[in-house]
Amino acid sequence: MSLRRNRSTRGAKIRREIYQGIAESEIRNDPSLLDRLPYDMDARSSDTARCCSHHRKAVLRRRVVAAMGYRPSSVEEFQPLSGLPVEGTGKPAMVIIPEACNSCPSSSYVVTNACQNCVDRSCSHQCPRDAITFTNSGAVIDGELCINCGKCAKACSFSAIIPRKSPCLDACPAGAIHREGDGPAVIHEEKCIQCGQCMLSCPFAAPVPVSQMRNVVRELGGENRPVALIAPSVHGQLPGTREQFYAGLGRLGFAAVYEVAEGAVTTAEHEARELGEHMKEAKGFMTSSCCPAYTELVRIAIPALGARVSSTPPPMFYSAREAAVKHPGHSLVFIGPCFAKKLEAVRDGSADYVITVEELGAMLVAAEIELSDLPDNGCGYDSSLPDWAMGFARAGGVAAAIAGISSRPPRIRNIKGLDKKQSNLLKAWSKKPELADTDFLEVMCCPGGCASGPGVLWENSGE
Amino acid sequence: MKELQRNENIEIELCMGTACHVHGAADLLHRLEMLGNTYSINVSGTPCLGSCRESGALRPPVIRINDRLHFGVLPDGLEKLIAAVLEDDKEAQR
Repeated sequence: MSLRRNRSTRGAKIRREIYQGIAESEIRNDPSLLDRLPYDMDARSSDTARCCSHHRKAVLRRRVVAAMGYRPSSVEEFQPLSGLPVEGTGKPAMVIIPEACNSCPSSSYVVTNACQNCVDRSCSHQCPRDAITFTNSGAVIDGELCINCGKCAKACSFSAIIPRKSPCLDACPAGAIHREGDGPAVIHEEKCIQCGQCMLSCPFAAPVPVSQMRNVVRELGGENRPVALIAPSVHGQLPGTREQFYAGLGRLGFAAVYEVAEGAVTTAEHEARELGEHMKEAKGFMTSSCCPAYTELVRIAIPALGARVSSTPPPMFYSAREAAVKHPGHSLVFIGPCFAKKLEAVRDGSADYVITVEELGAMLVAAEIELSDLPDNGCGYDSSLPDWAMGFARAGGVAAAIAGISSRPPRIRNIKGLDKKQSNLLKAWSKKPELADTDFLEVMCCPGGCASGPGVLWENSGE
Repeated sequence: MKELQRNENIEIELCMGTACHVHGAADLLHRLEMLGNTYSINVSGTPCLGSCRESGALRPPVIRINDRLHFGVLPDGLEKLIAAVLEDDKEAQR
C-alpha cells in the first residue's frame, strides 16, 4: 500500500485560493478581483518562505497568470490581469515559475560543518574515486570527481556528509527538467509529459499547470452550457452523496453529467479482446493505454515500446463520444485528477477542456454551493456501474478488470508510479521484452494510480 | 511550546462543509486520526458551520477544539495548535 501523502500543503492551499478567486471574479462578473487577488492573498498570508512581500506578490501574480490559462512569464508586469482574454493560450503546459524556484543544488554530496576533521578519515577510504581531500577545517568533496555513490556519507561516524537534492529533477520520469548553471529549473516542453510529479515534489510549489478552469466557468454562465465527464477517482473527493454531487454540478451550470467509468467498461472489454489476440500470436507483453502521462512518455522517450501499448482508446474517449452524440454543440469538460489528460484531449479531440477536482472544488466554493445541503435524490446518478469500472482509479485496477473478463487469464504485472528508475526499467523491457515476464503490464504514472493524481484534493487509498 | 499530555481529553469538531473540504479538511481528519493513536482525542464531523463566509479574513478549514474555533488550519502544525489551546484552557482555570 502506498503511503498516503498530505495534499493540504501550504502550496496547495495557495493554488486552491487562487482558483477560487478566479472563479469568484467570473461568477460575480468582476474582473477587478483578478488584479486584487495577489494583494489580497499576500495581505492574509503568514508565509515566511520568500524574502519580502514584494517577492511574494510577484510570485502570486505569476501563479494567478498560470491559473488564468497563460504561461506565467508571458504577461508583462505592467499588464492588468483583468484585461487578459478568457481564452488563454489553449495549449496545455507545466511551467516552473522562475521567481518561485529555489534553484536547489543539483543532486550531490556535501560535507557539512559537522565534520570533525578526524584522524581515521573513513570517508576518504570508502571513496572509490579519491574525490575527498582535507584542509585544516575538514573534508572537502571534489564535485568533478564525485559520482554521488554516497559511500562517504555512510562511512562518516558523525553523519557529517549529507546528500543535497533537487526534488523536481529526481521526480521527473521524463528527464524534462534542466538547469543552466545555478539558475532556476526549467521544464523543456518538448520532453515534458505533463504528469505533474514535479509539482507534487517541489516544496516551493514552483511548478504550476496552465489551467483551463476560467474557460469552463465562463461557459457555465453562458447560453450553451458544457457537459461534465467525471473520472472514477473524483467520487468521494468532496463531501455529500453522489446524488448531491450531481445536484452540485447542475447548480454550477453543467447541462449533463457522464461517468467516465462507463467508458472504462468499454475500454476494458476491448482491451481484454486485444490482449487475447496478442497472447494468441505470442507477441510478448502488452501494456495498458489509459494513463496519458505513460503513453506520452512512450511517445517521447521510449518509442520502442510504442507497439506494445494497447491500441484501445482510453475511457475518456468512449465517454466523450457518447456525450458528443447526445449533446451536439456543447463543450465537453473532463473533470479528473490528472494534468496529462489535457494532452490526451488535444491529441484525440475527445474533451474540449480538462480541469481537476481541485479546480472543481474551488468553483463550488466560489459559487457558494454547499453540497451536503442539496437534494439527495432524483439528480440522475446511475448506480448500475460495476465496481471494477470505478476501480480504474486505483493502481492495479485496470489489470484486475482485464484479467477478470479475459477468457484465458493473463499473467499481470503493475508499475505503480513512474520516476527516473521505473522509466529506465521500461526502457530495458522495450529492448528485452522477455525480462518483463508478463502478458499484461499496467502502467500508472502516479504511485497509487489516478486516486493519487496531481489534481486530487486528498489521496483516497480506499481504506 | 508545551507538549500534549496523553491523558487529557480533547474534544475536536471538524467542519465538513464544502469549503473546508476543498481547503484541506480530509487531510486534517487523517492527521487527527493519527494523533488519536497517541492522545485521547474525540473527533466528530459537523455540518457546515458557516463561519468561513462571515468575513473574508476568516478562512477554511475550520475546526473547533474544546469549544473554540480555529481558522485556516493545516495538518502541519496541528499538534502544536492543540497543545497551545490546552495550555490556554489551563491558564484560564487557574
